[in-house]
Amino acid sequence: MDVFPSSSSDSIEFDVVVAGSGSAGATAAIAAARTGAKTLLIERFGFLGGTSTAVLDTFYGFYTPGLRSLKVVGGIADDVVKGLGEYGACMERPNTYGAGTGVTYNSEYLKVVWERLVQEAGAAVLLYAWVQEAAVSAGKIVSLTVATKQGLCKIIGKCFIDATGDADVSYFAGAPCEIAGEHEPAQMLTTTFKVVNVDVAQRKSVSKQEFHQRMAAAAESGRFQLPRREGSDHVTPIKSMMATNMTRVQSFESSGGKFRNATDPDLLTRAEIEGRRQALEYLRFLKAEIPGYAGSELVAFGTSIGVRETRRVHGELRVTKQDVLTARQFDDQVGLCGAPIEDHHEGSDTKWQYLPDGQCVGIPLRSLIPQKIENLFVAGRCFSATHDAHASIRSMAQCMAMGQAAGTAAALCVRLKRAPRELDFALLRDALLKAGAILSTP
Amino acid sequence: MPFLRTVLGDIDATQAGICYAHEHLIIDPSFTTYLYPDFLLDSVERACVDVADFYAAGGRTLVDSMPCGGGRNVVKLAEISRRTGANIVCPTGLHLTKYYAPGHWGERITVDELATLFVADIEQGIDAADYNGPEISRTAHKAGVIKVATGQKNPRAHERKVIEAAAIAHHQTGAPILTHTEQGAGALEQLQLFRELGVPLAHVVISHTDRAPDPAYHREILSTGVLLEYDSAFRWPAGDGNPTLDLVVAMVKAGFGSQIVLGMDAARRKYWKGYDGKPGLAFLLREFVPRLKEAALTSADIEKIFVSNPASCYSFTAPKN
Repeated sequence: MDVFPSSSSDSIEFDVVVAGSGSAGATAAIAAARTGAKTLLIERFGFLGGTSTAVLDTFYGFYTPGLRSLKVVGGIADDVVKGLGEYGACMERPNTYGAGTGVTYNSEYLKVVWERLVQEAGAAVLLYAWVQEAAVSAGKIVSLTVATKQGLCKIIGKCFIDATGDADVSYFAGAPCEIAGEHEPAQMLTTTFKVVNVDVAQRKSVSKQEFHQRMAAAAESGRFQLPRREGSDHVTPIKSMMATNMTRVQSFESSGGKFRNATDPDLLTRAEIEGRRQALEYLRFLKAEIPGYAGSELVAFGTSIGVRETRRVHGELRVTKQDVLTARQFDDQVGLCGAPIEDHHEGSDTKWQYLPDGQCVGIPLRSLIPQKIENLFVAGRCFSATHDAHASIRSMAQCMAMGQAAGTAAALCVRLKRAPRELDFALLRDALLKAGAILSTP
Repeated sequence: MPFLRTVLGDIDATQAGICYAHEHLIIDPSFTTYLYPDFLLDSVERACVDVADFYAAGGRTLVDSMPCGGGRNVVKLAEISRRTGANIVCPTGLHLTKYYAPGHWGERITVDELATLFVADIEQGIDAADYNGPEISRTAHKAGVIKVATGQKNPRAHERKVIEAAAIAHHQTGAPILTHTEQGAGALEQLQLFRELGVPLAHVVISHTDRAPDPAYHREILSTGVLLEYDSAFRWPAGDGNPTLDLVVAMVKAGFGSQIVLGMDAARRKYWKGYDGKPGLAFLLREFVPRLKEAALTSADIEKIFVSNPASCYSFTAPKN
């Protein structure tokens, strides 16, 4: 379906407009279209998936960590895994750190799975479209302006979903946001990379502990420059290919009275260059010091650097560390999270804090509704939470749960002519449960 | 304080002791026994032979699984309980349509009417005539679990109606739910329905799934937090290994040891010593437990399966309304 405006018009019109096609946005578009809304999904890159296809290759958050793996995310997320399974492109893998079983996939196939699910649901897609501006009137977003190869284009919508990760839409619309790193710490950036021709059996002869010891020793000897000493590598569905999560790049800085984070064009430019430099240094370390890597070779960097947190909206409710660690349940919860608080902070290690075994914190719908703007939901890592709570709930499975909730809610709002704050939660809950979402622990 | 509702009254969940999770102690003359004469288990005396042996082997609580109108007789269950000292939980609910004569009231009744009958069984006492009409004569013996059933992978409309009524009765009373699956199929479909209906899966027990002993299927079901009941331990042909045993061990190893319960489901005379059959009700405690130990299950694992898991899943939750 063509979506770009013909020469006679300078705008296009949809019920639900989803900005950003990561795990949250793509799922939101699928949910909104399945719920009957005329839906548009806009994406800045040439493929769907955001971090799920550009940076990572493992869905975490489907299962609780601990002795027994309880599955806490369902619905559209299950369709995604099933779609990957049809290509033989995924596998379940216990997490190196104990964040619960992960689903590792071939991210190239995932690009196609996202496309298929979005198109089968009936949503329109516009790639290479980057949000530049939000026009607001009487507290409502009227339209978004996106940059394209043929200049700017106006997209009119009834309800909007900000799944940009960086809360771009909310920021442009003037919704209140918090900036990671400004008052609380912010998580670091990571350039991932994949390596082929690894002798996996040999690699497995080295335990996680020994792997980290060798990394630390190599760094301390001065022979290698390795800022993070607890980076990890993992097997993938492709024989002999390992994927890594090792590099650590500063995500914010304060200098000369100016605060910059990973939405700052200069910082982001430097970070991309530094991330790839680090990745090559880690590769040099792997080849020299880790059994199985001697004959290996780099096959791909992440398409872009991985960003863990930048802007978050101030929502109707802000999820806190206390909520996470006490496994708080909310009347309006639209998803569950059992993942520990995983803090990739400054310094060489990563901090982990767990929920009570087998328990989950609820993700309240109110944390997806930004203050001040009437017809806007957020989904994904720009939802409303403190730095710590965010460090637990930002996993991709939770982003999919948020996306399904936001997409379904947005479509219901359009159909019933209600603002997000006025939507009868029972309607949304029933629709989500019917669609296989998991809203409460057993 | 969590409690189980037995035919002789509520007991503290910590007092339930060793429990069998899916039994048939009495099946009175009914359409069920007309179809399957070997299902006729109508003698209190004969039942007591096996229940006394179960008690002597350490057993304390039995969850019967014959719901409304299928040959249930709560007066006889209460008598067995008095004579042997074993606690007995009696269900309300409805079985598969095939166990009722064509035209049975269960097919015509509305969801709300059905839920009202279930709730009355749980809160007031089970009808001495087992809802076979024309008059209802409530005994002092209350139902302690709601039994529902599906006959294939996808629930039929009638089966969905019964499950919906069970969910309403659960929300009103807090009673746990026990389900029948046909040859283990349809467990995922059942629990999706319970999720939609807001029933906490830690109080739902899905039965007979060891008849489909695929570990991946069982892990997928258990990852939802629901309980599984296995009862074919004594049914597998001798000499070919025991898939139920293998499954228990595999699921405990996979971390799901707190979600497995065991039963006999000995619905035929030929399984009862009291009816001159074998292996008898005490089989699990006398013969299967030693095999679980040989398979390297710890005493703590076995205690969970027989004591703490049933005590937890069969206890009542706080009613919603």
